[in-house]
Amino acid sequence: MKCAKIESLIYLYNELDEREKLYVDVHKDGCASCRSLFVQRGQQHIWIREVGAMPVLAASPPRIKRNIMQAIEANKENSFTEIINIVTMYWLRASLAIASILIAGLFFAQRSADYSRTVLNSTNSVSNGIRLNTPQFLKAHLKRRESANQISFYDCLKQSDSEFLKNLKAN
Amino acid sequence: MHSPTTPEVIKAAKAGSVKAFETIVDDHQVFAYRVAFRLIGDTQEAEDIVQESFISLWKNLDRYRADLKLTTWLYRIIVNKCLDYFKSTTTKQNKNKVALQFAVALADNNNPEKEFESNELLKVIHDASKLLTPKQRAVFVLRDLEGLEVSEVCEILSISAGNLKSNLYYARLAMSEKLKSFNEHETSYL
Repeated sequence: MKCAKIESLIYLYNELDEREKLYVDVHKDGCASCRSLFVQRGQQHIWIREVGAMPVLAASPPRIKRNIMQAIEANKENSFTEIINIVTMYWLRASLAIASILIAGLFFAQRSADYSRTVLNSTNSVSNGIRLNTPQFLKAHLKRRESANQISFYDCLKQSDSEFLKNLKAN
Repeated sequence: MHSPTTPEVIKAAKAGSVKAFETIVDDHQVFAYRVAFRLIGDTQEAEDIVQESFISLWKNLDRYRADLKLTTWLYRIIVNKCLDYFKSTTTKQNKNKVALQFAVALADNNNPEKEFESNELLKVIHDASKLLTPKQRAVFVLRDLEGLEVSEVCEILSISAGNLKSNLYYARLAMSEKLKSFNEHETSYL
């Protein structure tokens, strides 16, 4: 049981603290199999270090470097284009948003003006006991327009037509 | 080993200087390829990982903290890229097809016997590393082949010292089994 524990410690001998190393050293001095494993591990460690010291060279280091630098240049260009795109996109978005707000504002301003006029007319008619969307309502509406000296669009067209015909005949 | 990059060069690269980043690539390319190749075991894939790692380094350079070594940060990027590679499904399918490609220039070319031994040793370690889990392989490469300190390996892999020791133990145990046969082969020559 003790040897099994020592064996696992032998594999990690270089990572042990001084107290643990001493523990292993004392045991292996009196245990032939652990001492043998320790020697064997020591040899293996040397071989592994030997392999670690061998240079590992790429087939073509300049090609790798060229590829890296090309990718970085491309990345830099892409980043610049990306920034331009983002700025353009935000500028466009902001312009569209402002235009939409202005159109919506104009629409609601016009609508509220129309609404107040309609409400005024309707209120007058309703207060006179006339129901909305009835010939009486329209009659009252037209009367009020005449009294205000306002001509309807139809009358306007009619007048224009007769003036046009007069001019045509005169010519 | 690689030469350390000066803080001025890193600062210039952070500011967007391609020339300064080119210096960083020059200083670290060899070590980056070595680590990637030792983890992956395939030259083409290792090259791809090195390229991706440097591109990732460039993109995230503004997040670099001066208290961390640039090599530690680069190690972390490379190891994470390699671990991602192991996780990919295509890699799992081709796991056993990885060719034994050793891009190694041996120092002692005048001694064919020594060269043969070194190649044999390399083959044994490469075969054994294929049996390890990605994390065990990463721990083994960083601690035993790269010779990094325990604390640095823990920082690169974001693991505790206990976790590192556990992975290292299993990795060395697997290596030991394979190296025993190499040992017998070696002694039979004597």
